[in-house]
Amino acid sequence: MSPLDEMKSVPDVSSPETEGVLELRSLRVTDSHPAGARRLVDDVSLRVGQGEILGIVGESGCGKSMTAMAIMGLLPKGCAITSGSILLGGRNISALQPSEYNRIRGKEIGMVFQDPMSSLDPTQRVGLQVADSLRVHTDTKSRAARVRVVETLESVGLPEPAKVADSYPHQLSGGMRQRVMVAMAILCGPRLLICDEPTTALDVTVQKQVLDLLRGIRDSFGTSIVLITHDFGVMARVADRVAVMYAGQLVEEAPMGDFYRSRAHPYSDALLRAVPTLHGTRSARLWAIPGTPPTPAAHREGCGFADRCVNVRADCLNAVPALAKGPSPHHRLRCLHPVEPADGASTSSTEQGVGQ
Amino acid sequence: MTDPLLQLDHVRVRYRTRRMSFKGAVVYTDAVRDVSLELGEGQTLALVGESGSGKSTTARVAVALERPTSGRVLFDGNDLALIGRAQLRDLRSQFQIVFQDPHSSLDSRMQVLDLIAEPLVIHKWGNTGSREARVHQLLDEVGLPRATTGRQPHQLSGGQRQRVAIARALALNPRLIVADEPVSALDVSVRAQILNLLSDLQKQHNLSYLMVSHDLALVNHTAQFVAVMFRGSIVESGPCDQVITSPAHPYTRALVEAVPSPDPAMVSPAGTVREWPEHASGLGCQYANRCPQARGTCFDTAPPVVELQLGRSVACHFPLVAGTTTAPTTSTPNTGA
Repeated sequence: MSPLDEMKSVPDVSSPETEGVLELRSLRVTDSHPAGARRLVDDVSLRVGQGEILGIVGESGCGKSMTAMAIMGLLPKGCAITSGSILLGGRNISALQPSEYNRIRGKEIGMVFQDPMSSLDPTQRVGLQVADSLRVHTDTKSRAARVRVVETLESVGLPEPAKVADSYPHQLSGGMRQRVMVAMAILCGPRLLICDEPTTALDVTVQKQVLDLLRGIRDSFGTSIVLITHDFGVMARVADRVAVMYAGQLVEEAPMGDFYRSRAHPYSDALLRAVPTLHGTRSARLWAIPGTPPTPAAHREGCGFADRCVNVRADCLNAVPALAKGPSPHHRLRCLHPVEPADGASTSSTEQGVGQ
Repeated sequence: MTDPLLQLDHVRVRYRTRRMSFKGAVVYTDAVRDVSLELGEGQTLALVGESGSGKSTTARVAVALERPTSGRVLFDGNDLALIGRAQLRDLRSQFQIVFQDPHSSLDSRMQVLDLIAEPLVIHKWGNTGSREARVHQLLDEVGLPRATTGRQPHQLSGGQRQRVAIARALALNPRLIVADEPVSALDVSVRAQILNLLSDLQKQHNLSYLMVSHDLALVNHTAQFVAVMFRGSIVESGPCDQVITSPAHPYTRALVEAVPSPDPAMVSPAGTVREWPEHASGLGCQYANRCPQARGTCFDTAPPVVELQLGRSVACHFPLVAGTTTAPTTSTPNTGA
């Protein structure tokens, strides 16, 4: 099935009245591997509405970070968008020149990365670094910029923002540094915020606060957020909609609540069951997925998850399943033999059973 | 209760910092202050806490990778500081450690056969033939194909590498395994495999685990006992289910509340913990500055360790759970050295 045909068969998931801030259309990213270009992101179509938080979940190598990098125009050397397009507010940004991308990045798209310590310059005061994007994108004078920076630092919940602005990164705690990164990302009032594992390097108590901050930013500025994570707990706390990626492809997408209750892809289901929770019985064995996540491939014959799947049948190996309508409204699914939704929600393993 | 396999008795680990005080005196910092714990045969004790809480240092002290500045470490009744080098070397075969990141803990130039046989060689166990047979047996136990022996770590996946690290730790039939964040570097779908493997091995060999983790949900699943650490001290300890379902220390409660649930219907309300200030007052409770219910006493007196019930204790002036015995135990740690 060609990507075009598939686009037609896919129902429009966002409600029609919301103008998509970000739209990915059959995006494909490949690298230049000596044994043939491998598809790192394979035919991904997604839409993020105004003020919506979309979570992309997956394991290492599933293509979630590559998708984020493609949106930000920061694909590593050797990787390129080979087909499909990225629309930001209706404008195709996938073919922009680097200099044109510089005008968008930081201004229309804000970015928050995993490790704030390596994203910040250790030799420069925080306030100056945060002000960088103002200097690049606007002609704000330095005094006005300083005022704006302090205001923004305050809006991300930092105490004594003026003092923070005069600090060096090492003088701040991990949580404070990540708040500084968020301030830097929202300074120019972007419509879209891309957060790639924003809390993975933080302690749990701090993680929760940073996640609440992201939600607060969406609530007060109407910013759309794409949150990349491997952690369903993080996802459940902030995302409105969740997209699961496996082997470069989108395998399931649904509103958060629907996803948890009626996830239908065997991978999504197994992944959720494999996560230990606080409400589980301790002695029960964890639900383990056999095998290991796949490495990128040039071409797949059948479903990427087939060799680890409990529901696998002969037809799974013949063709890559299409992304079709799932069991609940606004639900998309790429699977020929999905798990039963009823089973997924109620009689699942001990940990989910109690968690209802 | 029989004698514990591992016992830490008022252990303190003090490091010299690069900082100098105003008068030019050397400044020390306590990574672990007055930690006491016990681990019985075949049991799992988890050390939980945020980064910098001293949980890894405590684990390293337990397997003699680090010497305590004061206090005693007893393994099977032997004080690790008093026995001789040769004896310690012999004893080391009985306690092993599995590190967080198998990528950096395994020598990338060695083959799996040599990696797993290395402890056998060091302890002069058997000959080449019998060692190879032992390696094959270990590979079976950790669920790796025997053909893995000729591979190098970079040819293996993260989960396979961690299996090699576990096989290596098992080689000398230890009684205690310290696992420092054994699955946090692994993919979610692989974590469960490794945790199940650890639990199977524990049953087969009656192993004791001292597990270091920042993930309370994972601890809830794998450990019978938990000790919650904050800034070098154990603030609460006891049976895992009790500590998690009814935490007695405000910090434990904050940790429990912060664990993200994958069920959107169970998302906890916005935070109650203060993230800053970072630095605690010297005298009082280390947690006082972040504690939502700190009162006057908390800032100037260190809380005594109170035994709530048998095997469950908390170091807090105002515990959230009333105990059956509220009298302080004989030991009053945290008296501020």
